[in-house]
Amino acid sequence: MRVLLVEDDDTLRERVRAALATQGFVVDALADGREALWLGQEESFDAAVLDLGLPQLDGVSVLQRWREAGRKLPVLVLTARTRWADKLAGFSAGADDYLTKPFEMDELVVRLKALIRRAGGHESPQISCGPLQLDTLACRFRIDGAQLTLTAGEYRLLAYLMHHQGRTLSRTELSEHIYDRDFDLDSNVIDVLIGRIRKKLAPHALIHTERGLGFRLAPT
Amino acid sequence: MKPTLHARLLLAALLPLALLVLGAAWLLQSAFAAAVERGFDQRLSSQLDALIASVEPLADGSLVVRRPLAESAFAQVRSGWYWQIGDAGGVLKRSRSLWDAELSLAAVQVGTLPRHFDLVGPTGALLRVATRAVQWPARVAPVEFALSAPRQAIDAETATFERLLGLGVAGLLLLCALALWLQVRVGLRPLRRLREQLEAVEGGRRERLELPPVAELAQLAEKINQVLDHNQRMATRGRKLAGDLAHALKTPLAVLRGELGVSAGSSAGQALARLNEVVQRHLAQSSAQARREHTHTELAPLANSLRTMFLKLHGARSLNLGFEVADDLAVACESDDLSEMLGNLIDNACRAARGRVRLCARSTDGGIRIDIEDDGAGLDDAALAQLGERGQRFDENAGSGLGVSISRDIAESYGGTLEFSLSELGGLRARLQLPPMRKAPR
Repeated sequence: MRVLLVEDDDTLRERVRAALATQGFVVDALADGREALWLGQEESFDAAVLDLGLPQLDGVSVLQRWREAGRKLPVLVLTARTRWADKLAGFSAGADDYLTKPFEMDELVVRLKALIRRAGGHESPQISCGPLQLDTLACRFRIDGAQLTLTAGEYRLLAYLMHHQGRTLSRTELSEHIYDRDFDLDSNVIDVLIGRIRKKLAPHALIHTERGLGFRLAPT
Repeated sequence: MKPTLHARLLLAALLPLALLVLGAAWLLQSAFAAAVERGFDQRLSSQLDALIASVEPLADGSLVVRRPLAESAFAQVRSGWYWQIGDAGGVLKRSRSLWDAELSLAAVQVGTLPRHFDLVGPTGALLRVATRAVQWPARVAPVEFALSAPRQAIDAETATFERLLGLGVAGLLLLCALALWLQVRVGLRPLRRLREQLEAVEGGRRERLELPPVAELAQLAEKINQVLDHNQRMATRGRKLAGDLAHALKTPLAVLRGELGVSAGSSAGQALARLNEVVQRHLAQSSAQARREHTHTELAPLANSLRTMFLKLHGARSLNLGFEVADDLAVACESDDLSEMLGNLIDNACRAARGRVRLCARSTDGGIRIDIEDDGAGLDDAALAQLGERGQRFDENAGSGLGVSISRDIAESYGGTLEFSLSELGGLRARLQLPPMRKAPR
């Protein structure tokens, strides 16, 4: 899952980035509204955490322009302003949820996961695909009721497939959403990871290869 | 009661005017009295001359009155119209009216030039007297002629005049006072209008003063308008400052909370929560105090956007949010404050609800009534009573107390109320009563 984090306070941004990273998110952290506007429009993210009080360009404007440009990614708004009028402004601009500073880091993570899940059409925190189950809160996979042990990279890839099950995902999209921006797209890391995950999922063949297109997760 | 500008202006104009009129009346009266006296004296002199002319000295030195004065009053005893002829030796001749009395001229130096003076007569009444001494060759001593008339004749004439004068002066003063009163009243009317407008500004029915058609007052109104504008700017700036302060304080607070890694139950967690509560409470109050009453907010669009927001916020729970708001309802309240009150109450209701929240707004005699109900567990009597108390402590677990108390602060700053009871849906009902729109003259 790739998340765009925009927060102008360095300490808070670093703390949020660290917290999200430990939960398996790939985080692009920015401090400036203009950069955020550009990056949000140029690249594909699974969600954004957006502070409303930003220098250069405030969060509400950034959000508005993303929506105008057709960006549908779920956005969790961070605001220091506790008045409902400010929250309303955020929602009118297209926010999906908000958190008022100061907030608990755990709550941010839970809410962000819920946003991403709902954007994928999953209402419950438990996502399943045949015998495979993902507990999004605990960040754990189970297959046939038994816990599945995965590396961080494998987890990120399988979780992304899980959220978008049934869709064919290209290697580019997968690498964009599970690795940092400077990842080398030419390498065959994705294929290596897919191979390893398939082995761990055996005997169930849940990951299907679509020739020339990418991979698709689906039961049978 | 304080002296009015009215009274001051009237007094300042009337006092010198009254002095002036009275002075003039006094001068007029003196001149008239003097003229009457002079005229009377001339009549006396001419009669004295006639008397002198009628007297003929004989060779033996005695005098004969050939033609007595025609005036009948001289024959009427004690009439006050007397004549008397005498010398150093005593009275030689006298008018019949004097009878046996005489005019006591002893204290008077009678000269050859006519003289006029007042004298107490034989009856005790005051007389006006003309005297003159005549020297005849046949007589050694000069003969002294005196002729008198009652002083009252002059006084009666001046008294009539004085009465007329008094009436005239009183009438003049009365007319002047009336004219002045009118002038002051008309002159001060723009000032009264200015006061009424200021009251309208105070009551929130207008924002600035209309410039009066009088130059001096227009300048004053202009100045007052500048002060009003300045106040408005200060209020706006204060509110903006409060918002900025929130931003400035909240981020470090978030960092602190994160750095300390505190749980809500620990003492540091409680201190942070307290800090957060204090900041929020003061921010809400500072903006509530900066507020002015003349704004109004359409309820329906605001309720709609709140509904959309809460549906998103509680998207996972598929809550049923039933909002009944008539299209033409407006509340005499700033949009920010209204959304703050409604936001807090709807948020509480959504948290408490099992599946249903109802908002119902209608116009009542006392203004606008907004009921927000949920189908949650409700509260027991003690908790309900506690919710009704002012300035109650923030319950850190529920997180609803602060919102309620902020909402109540805002409602009361507008002269409204916030009450809680049990809802027929099973949960809590918050009833927000806001005062009616004031008819603003536009």
